[in-house]
Amino acid sequence: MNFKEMLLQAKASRESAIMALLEMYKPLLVKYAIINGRFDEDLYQELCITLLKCIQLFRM
Amino acid sequence: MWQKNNGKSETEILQNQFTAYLATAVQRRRNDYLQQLDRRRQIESLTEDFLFMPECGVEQDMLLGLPVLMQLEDSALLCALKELSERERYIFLARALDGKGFEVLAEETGLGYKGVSAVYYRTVQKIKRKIEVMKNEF
Repeated sequence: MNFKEMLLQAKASRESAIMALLEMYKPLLVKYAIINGRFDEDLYQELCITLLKCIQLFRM
Repeated sequence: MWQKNNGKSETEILQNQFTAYLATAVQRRRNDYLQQLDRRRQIESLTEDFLFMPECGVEQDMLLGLPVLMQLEDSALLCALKELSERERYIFLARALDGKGFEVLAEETGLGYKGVSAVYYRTVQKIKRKIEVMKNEF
């Protein structure tokens, strides 16, 4: 499945596609969730929510 | 198998766009989060300071004796000041702290009036930018 299809399915709130995207962008989210060299779980949660919002808001 | 995204096909371009979009959003969220954290910490430390209020006066008296650079508590400002050149620092401090006019400074440094004011405003810009960067780095 290519990225476009995945994103479209995720936009249609299909869970498997959303999970795949979350998995795909996990490293990016983890990278930004590090504060002063320590992984901040609260921030990671917030960033996951941001990803979900982005999927909905992104205009193709 | 993972393949490098060369941004050639339509879907690859789309993916890059989405990643950029996401990265910006994530960065903003992160900055907000850090600011919230900072504010919470400040409120906490404020209440702690309140208990030691009587000592504050003493500390300020002690600070007054120190050279200007050691009186500063704001580390971002301190860093910014350290990075300036000798001339910029002198003009900035003389104008901001001692309240010397541009004419006086122009005579002292051998620059023209406009030269001094240009140096001064450029310095202010530099300091602002530096503090901004430091805040974002946190």
